[in-house]
Amino acid sequence: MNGEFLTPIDAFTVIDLVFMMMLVTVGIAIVRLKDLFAIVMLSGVYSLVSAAWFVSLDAVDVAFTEAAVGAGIATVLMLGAMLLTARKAAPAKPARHWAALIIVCATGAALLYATVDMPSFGDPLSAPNAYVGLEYLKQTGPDTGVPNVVSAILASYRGYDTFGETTVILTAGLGVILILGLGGPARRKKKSVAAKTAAGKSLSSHHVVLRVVSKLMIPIIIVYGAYVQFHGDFGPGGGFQAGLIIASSIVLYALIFGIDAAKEAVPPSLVRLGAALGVLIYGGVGVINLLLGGNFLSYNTLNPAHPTHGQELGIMFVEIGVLVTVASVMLIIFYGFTSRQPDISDKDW
Amino acid sequence: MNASFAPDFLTWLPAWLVMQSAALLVVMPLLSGPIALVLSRGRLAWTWAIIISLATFAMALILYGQVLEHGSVEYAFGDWAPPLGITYNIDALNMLILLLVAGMGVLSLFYGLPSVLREIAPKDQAAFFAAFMLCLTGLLGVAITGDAFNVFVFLEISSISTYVLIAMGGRQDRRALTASFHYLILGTIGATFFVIGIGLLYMATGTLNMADITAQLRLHGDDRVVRAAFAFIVIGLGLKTAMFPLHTWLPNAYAYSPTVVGAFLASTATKVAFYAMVRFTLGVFLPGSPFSDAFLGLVLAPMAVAAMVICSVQALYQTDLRKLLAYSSVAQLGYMLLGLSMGTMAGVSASLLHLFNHALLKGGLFMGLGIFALSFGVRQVQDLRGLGKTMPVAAAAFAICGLSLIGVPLTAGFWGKYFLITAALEKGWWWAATAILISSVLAIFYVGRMLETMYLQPAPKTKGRSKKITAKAPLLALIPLVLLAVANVWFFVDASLPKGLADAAANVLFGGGAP
Amino acid sequence: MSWTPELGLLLLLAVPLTGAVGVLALSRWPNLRESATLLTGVALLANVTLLVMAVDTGARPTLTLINMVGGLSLNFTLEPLGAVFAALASALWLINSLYSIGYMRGNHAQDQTRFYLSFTIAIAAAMGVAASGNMFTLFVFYEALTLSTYPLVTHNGDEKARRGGRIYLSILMGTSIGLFLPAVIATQVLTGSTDFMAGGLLAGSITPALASVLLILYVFGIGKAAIMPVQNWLPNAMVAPTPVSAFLHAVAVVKAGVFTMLKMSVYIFGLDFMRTLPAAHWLAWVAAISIVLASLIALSKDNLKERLAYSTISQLSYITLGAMIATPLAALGAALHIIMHAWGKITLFMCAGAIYTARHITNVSGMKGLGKSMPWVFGAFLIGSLSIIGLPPLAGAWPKLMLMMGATDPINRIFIGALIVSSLLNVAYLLPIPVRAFFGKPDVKKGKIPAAPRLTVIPPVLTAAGTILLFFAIGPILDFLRPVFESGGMQ
Repeated sequence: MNGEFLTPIDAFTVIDLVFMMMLVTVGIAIVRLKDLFAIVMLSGVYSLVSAAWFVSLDAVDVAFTEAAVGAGIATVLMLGAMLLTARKAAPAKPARHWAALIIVCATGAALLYATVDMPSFGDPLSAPNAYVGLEYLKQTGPDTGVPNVVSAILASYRGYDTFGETTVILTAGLGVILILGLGGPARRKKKSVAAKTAAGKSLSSHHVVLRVVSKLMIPIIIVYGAYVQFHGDFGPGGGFQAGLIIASSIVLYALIFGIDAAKEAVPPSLVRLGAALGVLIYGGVGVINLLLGGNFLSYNTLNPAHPTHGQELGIMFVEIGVLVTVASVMLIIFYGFTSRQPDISDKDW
Repeated sequence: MNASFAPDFLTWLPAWLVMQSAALLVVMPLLSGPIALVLSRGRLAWTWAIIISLATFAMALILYGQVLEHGSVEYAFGDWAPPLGITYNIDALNMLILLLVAGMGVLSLFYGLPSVLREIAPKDQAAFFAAFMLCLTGLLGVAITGDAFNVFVFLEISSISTYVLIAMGGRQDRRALTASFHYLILGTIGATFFVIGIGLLYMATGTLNMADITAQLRLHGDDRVVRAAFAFIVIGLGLKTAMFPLHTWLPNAYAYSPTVVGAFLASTATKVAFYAMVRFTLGVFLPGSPFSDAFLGLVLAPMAVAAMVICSVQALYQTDLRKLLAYSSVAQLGYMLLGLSMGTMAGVSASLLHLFNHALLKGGLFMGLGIFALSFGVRQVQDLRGLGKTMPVAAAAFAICGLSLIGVPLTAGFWGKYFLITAALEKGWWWAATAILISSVLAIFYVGRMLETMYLQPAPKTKGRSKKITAKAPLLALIPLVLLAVANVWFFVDASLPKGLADAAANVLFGGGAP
Repeated sequence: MSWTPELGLLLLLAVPLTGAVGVLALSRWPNLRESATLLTGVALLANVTLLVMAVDTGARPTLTLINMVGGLSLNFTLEPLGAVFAALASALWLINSLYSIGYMRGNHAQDQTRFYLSFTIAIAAAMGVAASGNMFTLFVFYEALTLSTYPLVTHNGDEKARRGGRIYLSILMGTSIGLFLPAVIATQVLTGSTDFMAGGLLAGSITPALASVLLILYVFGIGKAAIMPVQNWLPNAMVAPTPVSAFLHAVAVVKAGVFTMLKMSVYIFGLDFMRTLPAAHWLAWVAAISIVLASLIALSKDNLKERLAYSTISQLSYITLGAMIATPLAALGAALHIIMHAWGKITLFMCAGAIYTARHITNVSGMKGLGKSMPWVFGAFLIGSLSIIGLPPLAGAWPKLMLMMGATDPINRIFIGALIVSSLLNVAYLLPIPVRAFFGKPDVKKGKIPAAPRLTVIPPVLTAAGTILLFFAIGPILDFLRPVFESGGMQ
């Protein structure tokens, strides 16, 4: 083992410790609080802190995802869900869940038991760093020509797992469609003109700042999403994060301009189609590979003369598939929640 | 395995199809899910799902042919050789499960149309079939893969779709929603445990390919990380398998889900999770290490025995038919876990055989109940009164499956118990044999109660259910039920297919080294 | 295609099963349906007769029906013991079918098709038990017999019948799955086979302690033999219509039980090995106690069928006792008792049914003075009773004699006492019935006396005649059975 890893304390260790303390504190606060709004916000904070921590641990891709999911879309969705219920949690009956306590302690003990034999952090000789991980680092360049090893692993080497994960997301969306429904298309056409103008007025008279700023922000967010999507080959990012970002731009639009406006821009039927389409794009790439004589998701077949070009092409398409499904499913979930009541009423803000 | 059985149909199929059958087996139902979602009309989506499920079953048969011929099949996704890429590895062990799941998928779908049209809102039917196909995909994906993390991914596909499918019973009975939620919470905890275990394994070995993990463990030996991984994986999968006492989600989930879902899940979901447990405990982790032996013998075996006895007793006291069957399922899973915990070839083979038979018979029982429910709204044991006369065919098929559950000779269920007892006696576990017998005797009572009510009590003479009415069970639903009943007799007379596969599977785990 | 013994074995199953299909197909025409039943009975009896003749000439036809997984097979091998059981069952089944027709029609019973269907399937199962070549096959058909007779027991469909059926099924299935099955599996695990072998499959290959455990599992697992304390299903099954009781308690079910007991004793353990097992001696005690106790209980029962049921329990334990004493002579006596008791007891049951059909009287106390109006029935009853008691020149005399002669060793001598006590008790609970019927004064005032349907009277008279005939036919029967107990039976 290399000597420098035995240094007891360095700056990063201190930062890590601080992050961990913060996580514990936020976690305890979430458990103790009764105000749902605060809890939702704190859970966003929790995700942001962990994202920051992941950065300090050199896991930038994970950090990015955590930020996009935990601090971004999940918080918005939780807010949406919260609006359907009360603002405060019902006081829990004081009860001693001894069994739960024992199970939690046993689990913790098992993990502690295991730590003794765990490799130390960053040990280059540890199994994950020395074996297949090292192989990926060596092979990604010649095999795929993709600079970002993480993207290459996700979309090509272990592309089938990502295909599965995309399907998991589709399944979740499917669940929302089945259990909550999508609330049907925008109801604006059915409303009388008077009602429409009244609704419009109330919106326009409030939140002017929000409306203006968001009108400026939304295009930027979408462009940023596209950047994240296509930059995934070179740096952190990819279809998953991009999908979240683009979905959150539409959620933002819905929050400011009303759910019907959002539904008019992006109708639920389109979203439903999109969720399916993304998986089909991803799977379609695989099926094309099959038809071209390779195995499923064997991108080399897309350009047999230049396998790395084939890889890049394949990765690009499957990332688009991921983007479409992720963005659509996030909107499905959002529509599903919001359609449980007529609109996000003004006083809730 | 006997190579002379190798069917020659492989030779007149296109080589391409044979080569890609492993991928197609999972990819076809997977892609059929989103397409069914887009179809958005119930019957259309059903027709589509039927076509795909039949094709999937055909792929399973092609794979079976290959396994018979070569012993095992490997398929590398993206043409990346392991351990860099993900592979599908099919041997006798998962072939048994694949055949079972694919077959039950076809039968359940055929069976399901009338009940889905009745129980699911028209606008949701297409999405329902999409979720069903995804569930099928997930189960097949867990069974077929040779990659530890890929197990997790497909386990999630199957779990999430299962939560959804169970919740769809909410239109009939709102309790389906809480049942689904309960299962969601526990299932997620299980999945988390499982993925922690995989993470620990990765930490110890640096690889995710199952065969490679085994190879690395051989070099690396046993340490605390590996042991913790073992415990986490067993508990995580134990939750999915409904291993006692982690089974609390199961009775309600089976009881309130739509009938077709109950039938399909009862015959496949826990079986696949059990397979994964077998694969990990004996295939991935080094079999015969002192820790795993101790874990199997001291933790798993007592839990299995407890499940067999306690849940059989619980089944005795149920008045809700589907809950009764659900508790009996937990008890039967105890048999399988017991076979696994013996850690011997005979034990594992017997438990796989029992798994196969139990899937057939429990599927049949749930289908029978579904048909009764569809025609007469039967939910409680006493609702069965007079059905022996009003629905003779369905009742007879139900009775055969019920006898098979007891394990009387002339039904397939006999073999599982027979070989389990044999295995227990060979290992000197007379107490295990005793537990099997006690549980079987309890089964006589809870099955007997249903059959007695069905055949010996007159139908209540309320309107619409007078004695004269001979309700016609929907033919589409009846055929799979009758097929399963016939299978339950057939696999007593000639059990060579499941027994051969189970023996070969045990041989893979113990004789042939790493999968 | 000419008849061969092997084909005969197949026909043992094929004939009744074809008959069952016929019964089902003809369900809408009762007369044709009953003809199908009778035709089946005649064909089966003819087939069995041919088989018995073949076995008598020394043939041991064997036929493997199905080779199963795990080295098991469904195998038929007919040896004298099985041939005797097959002959007994098929002959009495035919007579009983005749009787059933009279009884069921006389009582306007419901669901007659189901009744005849179960009846034919049950005789197929009984034939399977008789011809089994190994314990596994026997077990399978034993269970099939339980299941196929369950609808018969619960035929009346009322709460009482359901309760009786529940007890019937749970005790028989419970003991067979809980005890008999593990014994069979243990036999398979220990010896790699469950074949019936001359001299005993287990003999010498396992320790006496283990063998004792196995023996206990077998004896209590074979619940159909109704040794105490697993006898309770038998009186409870009396809720069935009388032909069923006759069939169950004289022919198929209980005799399948004691037949299995004897087969187990002779071919699985081997008589010589049995005699060395301490457990066998204890079990003989259990059997002896069952004999006396059941007789005492029979004495206290007023309901005729119940009295007969307890009498059956007592008589069955004679056979178990013979199998446990396990001297060749005692075992031979036990084998004879299977036959002789069957003829006597079926007579009694059919008489009880005839009385019920004609007068709807079920209690012994109500039968005073009936003898004058039903002389044939009570005459047959008297002969049946005397046979059960064991008076010459009636069939029941021989087995008791043999059993006593077989129990002359010092340690077994006590059992002779049990047999004598039981015979005295037989006298006490059986004889008063016909005696009072003939000599007592009827306490019912005379009205229009309905005659019993002819079909319910002729069969018991036939079987009563049979008991006389069998007394004189003892020579050939002994010659037929002797090889089993002297040279092992299998060639």
